[in-house]
Amino acid sequence: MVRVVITGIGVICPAGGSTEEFWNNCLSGSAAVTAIPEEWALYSTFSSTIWAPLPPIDFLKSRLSRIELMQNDTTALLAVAASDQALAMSGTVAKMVNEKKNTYALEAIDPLRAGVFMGTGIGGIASFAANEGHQLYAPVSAALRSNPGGDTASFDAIHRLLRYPPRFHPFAVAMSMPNTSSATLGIKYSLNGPNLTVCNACCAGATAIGYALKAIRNSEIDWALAGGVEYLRDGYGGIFKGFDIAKTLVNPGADPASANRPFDTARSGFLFAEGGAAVLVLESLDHAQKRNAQPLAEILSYAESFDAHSIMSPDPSGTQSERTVRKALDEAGMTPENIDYINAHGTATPANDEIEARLIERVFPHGPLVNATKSLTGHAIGASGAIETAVTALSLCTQTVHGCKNLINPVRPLRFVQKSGAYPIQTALTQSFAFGGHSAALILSRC
Amino acid sequence: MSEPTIEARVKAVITEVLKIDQSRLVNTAKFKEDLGADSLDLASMLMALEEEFKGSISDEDAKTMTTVGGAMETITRLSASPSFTSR
Repeated sequence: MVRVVITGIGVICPAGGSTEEFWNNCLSGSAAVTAIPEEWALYSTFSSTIWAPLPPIDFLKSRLSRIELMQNDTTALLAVAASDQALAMSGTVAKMVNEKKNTYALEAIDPLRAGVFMGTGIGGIASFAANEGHQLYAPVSAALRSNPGGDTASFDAIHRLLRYPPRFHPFAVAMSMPNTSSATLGIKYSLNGPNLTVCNACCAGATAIGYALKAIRNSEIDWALAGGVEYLRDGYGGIFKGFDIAKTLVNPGADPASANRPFDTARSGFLFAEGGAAVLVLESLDHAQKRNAQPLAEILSYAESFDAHSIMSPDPSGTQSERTVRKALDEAGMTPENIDYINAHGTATPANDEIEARLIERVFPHGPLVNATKSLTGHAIGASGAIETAVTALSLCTQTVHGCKNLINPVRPLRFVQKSGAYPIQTALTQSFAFGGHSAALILSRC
Repeated sequence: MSEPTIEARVKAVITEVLKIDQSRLVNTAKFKEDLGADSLDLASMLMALEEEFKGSISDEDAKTMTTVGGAMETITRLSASPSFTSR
């Protein structure tokens, strides 16, 4: 059987703008929580009023030009920036092949046997929202200017609402389509193998990595960029409102900094992340050894299933989620006792954490370590499964596990990691569950 | 140091987008036929010029910008209009 290893990790999310910064912040328990953008209040009221913002990102430090920053949706920029980090970590050298297009070829990688697998929940929706804003408001603004009418105060108030980009973007279609990130990566690094976008909501990042694993294991390809990306900030707060009106988001309470508390009895919903990306370099062990790339962790298995229950709520029985975990164990040739650490989905919604904690209790009575990375990052939807796979690999590689921030009274008596520290772990599970009814699980081991 | 001229700023944008030597930017040079630009390059150039001059270029004005000289004439004309730089 072809063994598949991770040789590079790139992460950009609210907990850090680089893999190193991110991992250090995970271990120190540093999380970004701020008020949502003030301008959204022009358009609506919100029950949840906090989010996890991205750190400042200088995309020009990646293989991106100023012109590309104008041409691309933020998800594509995040994907390239995270990929550049992953390539650097995996010792993959990129040589420019077209200066005008700013595209590259990767040394020691056969482009015909190299693929891209990216997960996203809603792709370039922020670009769609911006262009829709232009489409709606530009003619209204022009009409008001030509015939203001009414009193000046009303006119000014209306104009304050008419915020929209100066142009309808000529690349609107390319920026809005869900596959904008995977296609951008394939073009950027001249990769001709399978190029797939997975859109199964909060499982997307994990599923994309799972499909890359399968493609390498089937010897369809030798090497892949795989991960997830999301960008959820629009000018009007409409994307946030969708999650807010569904009553999925955290209640800020008296202390917003500690409101996000996965697996705690006082949890109230998830902390919405502005966005994020995690991209892994995956390759066969043989391929990695031939090019002297250092394996960080091995991926043993991937499994998935579907609740067929509700588009918005997980099946309370957890039947299919449990089947996913057991299938992943079977495929890895493992029993539950082999799992030392579980990186849980842990959104902090009342339903998810209750069902997930009971699932862990049923399947893993021996008490593996459990943590929830979303306690630090918030929930970056389609990127989250990839971010958490990155955390699982970093934990195995460094033999260190981060704590569950803000967890004081656990919902179930699991072996939650309260404080970051050194733990001897050989094999780990990361699991994701999603709107729609999807579940996905990856099992990784130490190299 | 004096401010760069409109001509210099337009040429800098064209060079940045098309990645060609400024010596090729003679007034009669056609973007598509002489400088190898495709439709995406032209769209990118318009965006970059709008960004540089902080103004909006209409579709009608864009149609006049098929040559280097045409682009400079159009931007010079638009720059003289107060509404161009007030977006």
